[in-house]
Amino acid sequence: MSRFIIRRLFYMFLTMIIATLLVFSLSRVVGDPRLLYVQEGGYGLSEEAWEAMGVKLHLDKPVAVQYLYWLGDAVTGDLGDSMLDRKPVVQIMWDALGATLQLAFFGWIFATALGVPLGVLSAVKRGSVWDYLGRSVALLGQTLPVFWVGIMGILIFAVKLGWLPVGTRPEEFSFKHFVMPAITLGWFSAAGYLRLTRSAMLDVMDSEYIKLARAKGVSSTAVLWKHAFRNAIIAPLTFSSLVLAGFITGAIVTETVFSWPGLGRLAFSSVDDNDFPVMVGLMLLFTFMFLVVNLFTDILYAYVDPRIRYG
Amino acid sequence: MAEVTTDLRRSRFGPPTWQQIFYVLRRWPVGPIAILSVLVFVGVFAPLVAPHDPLFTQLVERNTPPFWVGEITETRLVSQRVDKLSAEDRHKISLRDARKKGFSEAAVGQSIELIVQPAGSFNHIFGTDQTGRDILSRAIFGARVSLMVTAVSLTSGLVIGVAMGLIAGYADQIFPRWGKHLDEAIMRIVEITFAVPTILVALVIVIVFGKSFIVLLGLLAFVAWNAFPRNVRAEVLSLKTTDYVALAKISGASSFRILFVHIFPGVINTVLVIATLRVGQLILIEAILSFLGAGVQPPKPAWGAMVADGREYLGDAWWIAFFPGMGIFLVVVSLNFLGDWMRDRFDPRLRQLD
Repeated sequence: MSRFIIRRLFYMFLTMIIATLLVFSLSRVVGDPRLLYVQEGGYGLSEEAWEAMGVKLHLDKPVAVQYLYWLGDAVTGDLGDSMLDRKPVVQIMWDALGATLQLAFFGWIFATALGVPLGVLSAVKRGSVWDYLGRSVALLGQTLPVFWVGIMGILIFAVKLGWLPVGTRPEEFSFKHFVMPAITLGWFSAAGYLRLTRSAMLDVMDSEYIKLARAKGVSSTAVLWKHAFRNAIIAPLTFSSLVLAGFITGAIVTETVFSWPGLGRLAFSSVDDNDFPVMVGLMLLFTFMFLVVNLFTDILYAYVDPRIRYG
Repeated sequence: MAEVTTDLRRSRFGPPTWQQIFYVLRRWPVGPIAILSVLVFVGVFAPLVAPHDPLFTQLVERNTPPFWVGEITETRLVSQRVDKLSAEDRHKISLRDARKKGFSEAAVGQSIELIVQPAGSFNHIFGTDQTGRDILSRAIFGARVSLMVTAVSLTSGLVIGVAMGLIAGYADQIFPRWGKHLDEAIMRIVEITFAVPTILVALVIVIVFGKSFIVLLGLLAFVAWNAFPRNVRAEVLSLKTTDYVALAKISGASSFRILFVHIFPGVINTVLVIATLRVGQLILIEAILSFLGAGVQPPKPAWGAMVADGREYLGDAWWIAFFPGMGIFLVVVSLNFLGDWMRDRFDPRLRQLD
């Protein structure tokens, strides 16, 4: 097990290096990165300032060395300054992290609370109304564009019916403000959970030990929850890492739609403002979060399912 | 006793019965194919099909609702004559209030009906947007853009992805000494691309290379390719142990000949199925990028960007955001149905869920 973790940590490290190297070399290959900041000889920029900037960014050295400099800074927690307001990127991201985590938490709760029970129900009552409902939700989750769901939600529940607030997250906590963004964010993942739970349940319900349990007279509730569900839940559990990946894309869109002051909106506005350092920082953070969650689910997987032992 | 035909499908003569029609509808993806055909048709012939110029703005007709929406009027009490208003107050009368019925003749104290929102007409079936551009025409040209983007990016992604899969699966035969490592390397790269958040990478690339159509195409090709290698490789691994490949080898066929003449045809089904399912995702990603302003650049119409436009006018004109989103949804749903159907028919082994 520890060998497995060490190997995975190594691959994680490798992926991070490759991802950042990719972004870094992209920014260097395309042209002078100074041009991303300011035009050559642009307003208020003297020849000396231009050169000084070059020295500060280590442009006088080979690209590989430049990358190592950047890496060294990144490891010590310095991802550079935002170009828009000259604040450290790390601080900007830290400020936005809370809003995103809260939103992701509620989104995840919604996805699980809708996806898992409906998945079980549609598997157990296969061919019934519940099954049709479940499969329609799964289909809608996969095919409805996230941003459109959010906007139609605003149109119906905020503009027309006036049940929910349109505005962004207020300073003090208010549950009403979370309803629509969380549903928008969790919608796609709910469908994923649903499909996985349903197919895992169908698989398990078909197995020999369920037949045996039934044959020896275990009540159907006990068969369902103690025998079938506990085995079927493993697949959706590991799916959680993919849910997070979905949340990263989803957060960018959802937070843009709802003007949510989180990381996703930061990503969107940094594109709008051509704020390159923020963009790279976010890329690093998102990739890192994704990989960490991946690792945790793999370990969790082995913990929950004794059949799985990593060598 | 008369013979009773129990199988309705067998009664071939006479007009089709309802049961037969339902049978065909259930068995074949008629709806999805119809929707996709319409999409492809209007996309290809957009300039001929579209009723208006998608870029023509007409402020007088701005925010016209779809044809079935009647005019909305509001009764207001006239408090002051327009010509008695100070220049500043007259400025406050909005463009919309100016669409009035007998407003100028109304005397102070009289109630008049103001047209808050004009009725829709068949001139603009789906209404117009905030600058008076025809939404149907924009949606049609948007379909053309979507079609082009996905066709180009899917083709290039498919070629790259399938080639990678073929090489990875057959590398140990082509390069006996180090082919295994090549296989390993390719599969690692594929794995890494799965770990990186697509939209974010796309946004980074858009910043670095600028917002242009070519960049968008390259980006989506990059998004498209990684769906193929894994399944193609798995297919190659099983095909290369078959007898006919062994026979081809014995008769002296080169590795490349075996790979392209003998193995590749066996992979085509899998590729088709994955491609169909992938198109839907590509359309969604293109829409998301355009929505975020990083995809197709205005004034070129794109469905995602149209939804983004409509977002700001939700209270006044829901149709601006509604129709393009509905278009995306219908197309992606159709592609999903078609893909599922093709999977069941051509390659049931890909069936993992349901």
